Amino acid sequence: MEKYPNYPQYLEFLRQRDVGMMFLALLVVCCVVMLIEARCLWPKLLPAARNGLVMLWYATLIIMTVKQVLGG
Amino acid sequence: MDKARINYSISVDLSAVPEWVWLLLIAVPLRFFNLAQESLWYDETFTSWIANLPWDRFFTAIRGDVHPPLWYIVEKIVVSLFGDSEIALRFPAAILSTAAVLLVWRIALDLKFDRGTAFVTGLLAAVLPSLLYYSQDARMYSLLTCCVLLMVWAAINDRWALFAIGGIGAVYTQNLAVFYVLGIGLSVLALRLFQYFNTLLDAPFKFWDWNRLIKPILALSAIVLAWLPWAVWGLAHQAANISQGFWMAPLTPGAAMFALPQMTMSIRITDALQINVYGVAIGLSLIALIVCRSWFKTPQGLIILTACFGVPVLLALVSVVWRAVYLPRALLPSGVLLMLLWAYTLTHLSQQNRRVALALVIPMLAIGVVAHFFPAEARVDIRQWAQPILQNWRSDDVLYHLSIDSDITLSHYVRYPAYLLPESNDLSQSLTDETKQAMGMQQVPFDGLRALGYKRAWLLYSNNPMSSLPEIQAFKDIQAHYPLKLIRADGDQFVTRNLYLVDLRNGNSSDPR
Repeated sequence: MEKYPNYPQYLEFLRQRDVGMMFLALLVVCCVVMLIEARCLWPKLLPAARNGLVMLWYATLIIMTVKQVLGG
Repeated sequence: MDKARINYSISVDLSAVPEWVWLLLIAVPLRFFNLAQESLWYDETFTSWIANLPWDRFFTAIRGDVHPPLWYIVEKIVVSLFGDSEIALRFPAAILSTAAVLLVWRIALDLKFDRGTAFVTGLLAAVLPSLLYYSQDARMYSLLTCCVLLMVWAAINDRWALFAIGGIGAVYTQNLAVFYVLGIGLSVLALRLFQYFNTLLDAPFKFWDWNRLIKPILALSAIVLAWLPWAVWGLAHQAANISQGFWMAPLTPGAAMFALPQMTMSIRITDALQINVYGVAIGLSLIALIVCRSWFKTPQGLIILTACFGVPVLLALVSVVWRAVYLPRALLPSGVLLMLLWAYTLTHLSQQNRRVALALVIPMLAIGVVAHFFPAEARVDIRQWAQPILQNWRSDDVLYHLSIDSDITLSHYVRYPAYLLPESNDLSQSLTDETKQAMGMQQVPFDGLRALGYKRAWLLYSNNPMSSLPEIQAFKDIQAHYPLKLIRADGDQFVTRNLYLVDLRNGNSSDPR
């Protein structure tokens, strides 16, 4: 590895990205489990939970798009 | 005749237009739009270089690389007929990617999906950003996808001769396709054996058609037999070479998971939107696993489950216990087959849930398609780098590359004498000496250029995570002994690229001899 002095820095970037990906996957699993639980235990809450997630998704999408456009 | 009385009426019944025509109408423009917009990148220019070699050096060069010869043979034929422009080189991938859309639609129909669900499958594949990306990339992944889809279609329909053709095509396209052959073939064999023992237990004297077991075995044997010459002559040699380098990072759970969004939504999604887009791709795949769980217990469902999830898991296991072989782009066929599950899920959810799912999936795909054609971080435009060289070239000029990637990439656009640092062999582009020789790469130390009669050198230096110590050191030596005039520079977080013009007459050689 010492033959490639720039590589460790890149490997660290990859590791951080991979940790982020695992975090995202866990977040998605939690959301799906939450929806399944809501359907089984509190059926009346299901539409609210589902719509809440969609609204949250759109809100973050809009915020991130604006941030990207403004160059933040 | 009273023309005024003739009633011209043209009515087109759109519902009479076959579904495959609609799919073609969507898939073809998306694949051919902007086909030559971006300049070729390293892998594509490598393809072009190999395709331009005479046959005697062609196979020697491939043997020292990491891929089997089928794709390069396709490209060699294309180059000999149409030249090596961006359009010509990417044309086969675009055509094969269109064929993949029709194949996955056909698979959906043969899985007895209703026509609507089958059409949604084809539609998703037609706009799938990852398949779009590889349809405009002069590399082998569209061909690999077609071969694997043919194998899956053949396995579903008990067409074992076609399974063998697809399998042979796949293993001669990408070395990792062996895992698709193994995964799909073994799952079919296991299922048939299970069915046989079930029959034996339920009704010991009932007739069992042995062809159901023998034909898949014969097909797998045919693939192995056809693959053996390459495995012995080429793959063993390649495996020995790449064992000394490690152009693939060690696998982590996150990297294994990353293949899913990467091979569906592509790598071009801008960083800011990745969480949203990749999150939906992962979520939809997870829900699809839940929705399709009982279907996976059927023989056909098992084949699709193996191809979508079994092969990536197998590849990940091999990477953990043996060597890093988890190359996400080799899993493109799994991403395309996943559209079967996505389509089934989208068309079988309750109306309320479907509305919510579509509210997420449609913008996700739209973002993916837009990001493909208008990426936030586009490829480096090599044509712009070539411009100052082409405009100011003199007869006693020479190109000098400190790394293989700039040599291969730029040589496609600047076809002037070029030399390469002898010690260049970075982490990601480690070509063997045998390949370099077959490709006609000329290697001399920088100090040797003056002795060859050159007066000016266009020096290309790219410092990136894969750069090796000899390359970095060689640049420092040149910098210390020659006056460098910076012509062009760019870079990002990890990469800096510089083009210098060096007057060889004003330098004092760093060579003590």
